[in-house]
Amino acid sequence: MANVRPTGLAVMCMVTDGKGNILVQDRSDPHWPGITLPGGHVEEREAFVDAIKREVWEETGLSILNPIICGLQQFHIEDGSRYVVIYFRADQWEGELRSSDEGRAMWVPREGLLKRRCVKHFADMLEIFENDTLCELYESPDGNRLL
Amino acid sequence: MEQVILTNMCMVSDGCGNVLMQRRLDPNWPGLVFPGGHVEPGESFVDSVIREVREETGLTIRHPVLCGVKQFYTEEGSRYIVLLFRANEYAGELHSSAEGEALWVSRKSLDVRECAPGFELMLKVFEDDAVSEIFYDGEAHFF
Repeated sequence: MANVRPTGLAVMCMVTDGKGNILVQDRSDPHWPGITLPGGHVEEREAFVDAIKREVWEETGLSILNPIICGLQQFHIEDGSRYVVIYFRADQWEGELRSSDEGRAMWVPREGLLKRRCVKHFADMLEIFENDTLCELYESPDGNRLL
Repeated sequence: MEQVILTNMCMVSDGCGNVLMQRRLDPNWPGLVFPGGHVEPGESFVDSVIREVREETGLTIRHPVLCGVKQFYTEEGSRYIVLLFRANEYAGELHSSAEGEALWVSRKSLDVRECAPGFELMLKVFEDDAVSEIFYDGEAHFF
């Protein structure tokens, strides 16, 4: 089928506590360090909601309830393959916060968040999560489009 | 990396209780659905849904918003993804396409028996803000 293409699939979630704080991960990976939202790869045959619940739990110890899709991000890698990240929001969870090998999990105030050392494109990513009229971050070498 | 097929579909509402539909002629999946189609390589998802709705109905939508996803696996083992959007701003003149007649349908009077197989389940993801995903693995699972 002509329309089948190798594609990377990942998920990411903005978990908020209703008091102005956001759940973040301070990544320890030297190749891609900095603060970002929890998330990761989707496994084969896994639903996106299952994937985001699993990733948030693995990275933070929290089990999110009722994550809602709110946007997506795409970029292309060197060989031209497309990579897609599905964005969710959640404001209910259970469990105890703990970190993982990937980095420290912590609640930080949304105010002043962008002054910290964050991963590349983090400001554009937040815009998609937070602005109800925008749902896509299209990354390209010529510059990002927010749609 | 997985073998993936990326498509889109959009629920366009006129603010008066009507939704934009397409009466599909394709014998593989005939009946009433919302307009949509494949995402082209390198294309932004928002651009793709604006393009598909315009190609199939003549209307140019503005500010479509992602509201959910439908997924299933094909017989060949590829993941088929339908990105579901909503829009309520549009312009242009309604026209049909080779894929089928484009028409406004009253949502309240929509007869699901006229819809394509499985479309009734997709309506739940389009319309219920608390439902983001329908995933088939032999049966339909809503999240």
